[in-house]
Amino acid sequence: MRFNNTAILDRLGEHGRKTITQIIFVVYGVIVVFPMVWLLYTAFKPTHELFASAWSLPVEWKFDNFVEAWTEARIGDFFWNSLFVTISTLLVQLFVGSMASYSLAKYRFRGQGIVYYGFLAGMMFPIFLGIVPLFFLVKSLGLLDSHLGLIVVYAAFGIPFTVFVLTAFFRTIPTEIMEAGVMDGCGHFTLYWRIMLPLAKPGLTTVGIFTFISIWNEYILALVLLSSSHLRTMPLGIAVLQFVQFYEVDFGALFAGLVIVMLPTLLCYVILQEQITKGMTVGAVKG
Amino acid sequence: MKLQSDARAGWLFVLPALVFYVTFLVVPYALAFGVSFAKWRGVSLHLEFVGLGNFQRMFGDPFYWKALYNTAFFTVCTGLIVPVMALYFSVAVTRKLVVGARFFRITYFFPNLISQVAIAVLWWFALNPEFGILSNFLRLFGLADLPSWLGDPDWARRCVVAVKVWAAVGFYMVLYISAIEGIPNDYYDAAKIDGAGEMQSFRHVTFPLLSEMMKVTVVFLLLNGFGTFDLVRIMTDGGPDRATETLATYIYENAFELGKFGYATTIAMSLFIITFSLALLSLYLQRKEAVEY
Repeated sequence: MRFNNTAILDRLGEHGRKTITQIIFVVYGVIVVFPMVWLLYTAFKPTHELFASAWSLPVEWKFDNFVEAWTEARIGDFFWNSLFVTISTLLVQLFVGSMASYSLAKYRFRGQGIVYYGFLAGMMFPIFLGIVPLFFLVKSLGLLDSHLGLIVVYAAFGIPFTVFVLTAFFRTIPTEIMEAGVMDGCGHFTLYWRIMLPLAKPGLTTVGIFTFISIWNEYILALVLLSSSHLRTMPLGIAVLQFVQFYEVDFGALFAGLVIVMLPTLLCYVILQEQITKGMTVGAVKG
Repeated sequence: MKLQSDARAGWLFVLPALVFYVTFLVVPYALAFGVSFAKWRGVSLHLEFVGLGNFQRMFGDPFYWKALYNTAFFTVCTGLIVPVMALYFSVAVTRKLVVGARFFRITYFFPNLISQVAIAVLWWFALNPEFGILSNFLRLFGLADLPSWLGDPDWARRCVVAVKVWAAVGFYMVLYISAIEGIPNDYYDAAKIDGAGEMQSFRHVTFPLLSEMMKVTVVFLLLNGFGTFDLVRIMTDGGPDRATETLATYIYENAFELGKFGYATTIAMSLFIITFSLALLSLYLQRKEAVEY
């Protein structure tokens, strides 16, 4: 293996090692980035050009594929569905999760430890274990094939991570601040809503970004819980489109659709890069 | 403070989250234990308990063993390749062995932002034997007679591993980078004074101090490997000839395509038992005391 063969690397000397490392980085960088770049410019090509020459840039840059994807292939509808589901989940999960985290970090009551570790245990179970009972549960609640059903399930599945990050965050906020609030006559909820929640904003942002990315990209639960075509989220829509266009041998709209589904999260990352990498390591790293 | 010991208020704050969590996570997981012992077609709430019947059937089901083998293959391959690559990249980036470290840090993470569905479709295109970029690239070197990648059972399996690695490396790289950045610089200075080169300081400083992170990594890789679903379902749909079928796609097929809900849950139970015991086992094997620094 190239990474472990220290004898060869030692003989190369420092300069040689650095050159090899640099080459490996550039090659892997191309492997990561080129497929996405290829996707991006191919989305501007008609399908017959793709078959004629897979590598080349479009002869004429056309926006038709995007128009077709957005309207005929209904990627536009799926985009708004995804946006609605993602933002609603975000609001429910952050509200419910932050209240629980605040209580677990700042209040003291019997059974608190069980609740906290009970929440965290949720991260250890594979989603497929409960998928059949979950399907029938959602069905019996009358929430199957509805955005509401998907949102509440997403919010529930997001609670372990939310509680994990936000409880740690609320613990770092000094209790004296709460005391000052009580002196000013705040009740339990006012104290949480007016004073503690604004102070927890960095933690909320971290959880928010991660929830946004994971819900925007989620496939399994949406596949199981939604069946009507007009309710589809982006990943579902793309998966169906792949199936349809494969038989029609017309891939233009699919390429455009892929670009549309990838853009929001990539943009989100480029803008909020620091926060995302910081947030990823919350709790996983010492100190 | 008096307010904090108000147990009623404490519970009220926790209650909404608890209701969501118990309803949609705890109850389904608990039910799964019961359903796995029943024959259930999902028409009514009538469950016919068949004891260990489902498990017996599962042990005699060749498709189950094939799915289990494939899942284990994907988990083991990614479990070996991903940490090695991620470690190499993160050491090179943090120890400033490459030019443009910041750029690579950012771009290598890109695949982790994209839906698994989009990754699967993207690679399904890229691996197309006619117009895909891989075949076209190899043809530049005069290679003809290329495999049909996802159309060939052995190659399909290797391709799934490669795409899984492509999709995962950036995540572990970021984890390791943050852990390495937490190691005090004095340690490296001391190692340097003792005459250690880059390789030795990796072996004697970086690697031992990453042991906590390695525990986390193993659990993540296990859950991720045994949960392989989206990629396979979109790229190959378990084919060709079930060569890439995983436990997860087999569970989905049994439950939502064939209506065998009880049997599907039994397979899911085996998935859970395997993942859980392997996670415990690996934590036990790595149990040596954490290095404090």
